Amino acid sequence: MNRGVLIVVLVVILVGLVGVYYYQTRPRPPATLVLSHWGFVWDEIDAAAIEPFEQEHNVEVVLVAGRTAERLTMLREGAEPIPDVIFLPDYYTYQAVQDDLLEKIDKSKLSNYGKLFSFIREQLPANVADYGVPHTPQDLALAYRSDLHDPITGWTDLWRGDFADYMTIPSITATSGPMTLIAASIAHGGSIDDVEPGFSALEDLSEDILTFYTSSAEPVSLFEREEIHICPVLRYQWGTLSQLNMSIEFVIPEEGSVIEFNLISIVKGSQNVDLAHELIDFWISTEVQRDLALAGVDAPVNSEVQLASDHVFYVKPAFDNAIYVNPAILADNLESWSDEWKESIEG
Amino acid sequence: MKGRRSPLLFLRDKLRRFVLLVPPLTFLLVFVIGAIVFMVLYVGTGNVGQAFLKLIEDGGFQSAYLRTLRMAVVVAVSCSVMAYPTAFYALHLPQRMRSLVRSLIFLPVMINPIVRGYGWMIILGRKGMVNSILSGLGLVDSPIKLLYTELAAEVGLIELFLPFMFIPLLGAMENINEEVILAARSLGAGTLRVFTDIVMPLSVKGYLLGLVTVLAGGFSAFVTPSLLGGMRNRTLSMLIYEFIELRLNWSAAAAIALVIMTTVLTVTWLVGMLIKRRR
Repeated sequence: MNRGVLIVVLVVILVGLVGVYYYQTRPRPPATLVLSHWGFVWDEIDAAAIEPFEQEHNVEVVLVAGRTAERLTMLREGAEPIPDVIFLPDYYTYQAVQDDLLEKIDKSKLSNYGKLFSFIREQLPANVADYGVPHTPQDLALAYRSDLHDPITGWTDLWRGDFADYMTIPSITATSGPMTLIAASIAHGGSIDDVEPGFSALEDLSEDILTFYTSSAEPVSLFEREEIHICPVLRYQWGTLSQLNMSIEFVIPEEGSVIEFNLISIVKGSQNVDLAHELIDFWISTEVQRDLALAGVDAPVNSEVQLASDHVFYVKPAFDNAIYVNPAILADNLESWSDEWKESIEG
Repeated sequence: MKGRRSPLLFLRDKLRRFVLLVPPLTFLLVFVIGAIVFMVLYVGTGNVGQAFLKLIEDGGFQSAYLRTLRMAVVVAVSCSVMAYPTAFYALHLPQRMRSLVRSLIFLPVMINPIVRGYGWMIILGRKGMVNSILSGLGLVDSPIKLLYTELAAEVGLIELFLPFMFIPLLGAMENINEEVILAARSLGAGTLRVFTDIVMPLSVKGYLLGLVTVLAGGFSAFVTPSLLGGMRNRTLSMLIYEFIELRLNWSAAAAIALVIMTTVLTVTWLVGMLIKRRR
């Protein structure tokens, strides 16, 4: 072979090998995982959960933020970008399951699932638990001005008289509205299945209710302007209310804590099912659950998380006497409850 | 001698003018007509009539509809009563003062409705300005309930929409030939007569524009009635929110949106007809 040709061939081979080497060792663009979430306090969530997960798995997490109904509708309509993972309250998770929008969760891939409070694992109905993993509880408590009123112990104190005109309760359209109806029913001899005593008791109370709130910010503003002295609130509202320079105390009602969960689910058709499982497992891990609680984001579902007993997200006492509302009951009754509520209570 | 324009040149000019219309027409076609068609489809592909019938029979819808209509009418009448004399007064001011008055009246529009809503909440609240004055004057023993009432929502809406009545009215009045007013005055007409017999009839187009804006706005407002009226005083917009957020029922929400649109168009048409007949 001609010497010149040999040199050319060798150079070509060498260049090819160098090219292959650089191709193999080049920095690869990270995979993308699309997350559908409310987007509230995202900076804190980013620091406690997203960034560590991205680093650990060389993945880029993309947020699709929006209100619950908005995000569920986007999923139903197949609006782009279709998320891999979606965060929803259990009632909406149930609706998504009914619409066949979610992937079944393979719990064998979740090493931290066994760390969830046993109450959660026992209470969550299979048709929801198979498609979503709880990441935070929302229990309904009572917040009141302890400097202006005698101590309260439970739901019946709302009817005591000294809170007349100085109370707000959630509208039936708010997440905590149906929970309040159930709590009022249980306090007046009813149950989750029999809410008529609740309707009747709340109808009697109706004239004493200043207004009905729909967003979590309203009780904060109402307390601040001294329009109200008592209000049923969900756990995630405690943090903001505690920051008001007022003597506001939170009471877990003696009749029991009506509770629901927010769940993480995998969207049907996701191309990142394994990665989505890893994110869920990461999210319910002891470290992340603790960091999210300490950052004031969410109360933990992981029983190994240690929080001080005066921390707003110390949920154990609520779990000790919890009343979980099966989302199927809500789905079956919400429309009729809503109509009756508007007619007899808010009307 | 002027030469005749060729038909081709005439056609070219017409086409050029039409081209200018294409962007807004396309926009309206896609985002207004298209949106309405989509909303009708959302109501139901098969039983649109039945979906509307079901909605109309609903007690919650009926009370929200009547309340919304009542509020829109109260707001429109209040804005008319306040804007007409104010605009007439402003008309007689020197140009610089008139501009100042116009800017001052338009100023609230620059403020976010949520901020304005919270402002009213502070004014009308239990410990707000109104209750403080009333108790300071010894007129009431304990604070009266002003907030979370229909009246509070109406007050907020009047503040919100007054500029939209005032600006077109003043514009219409400015277009009235001053010599007509001077002639009336020289024939002995007083201020009231000039106002009722000349200014009002000649500014009716501006009034109609303002009225349509206020009625449409009042009928479809969401933030102000939610903040000041509360859930006890549900309006149709609040009902739409409820159907979407809670019941996930976009079909009923689309039906309510179409009811709002139809009502506003009908009321506007009726008012226009009435005013034309009286002229």
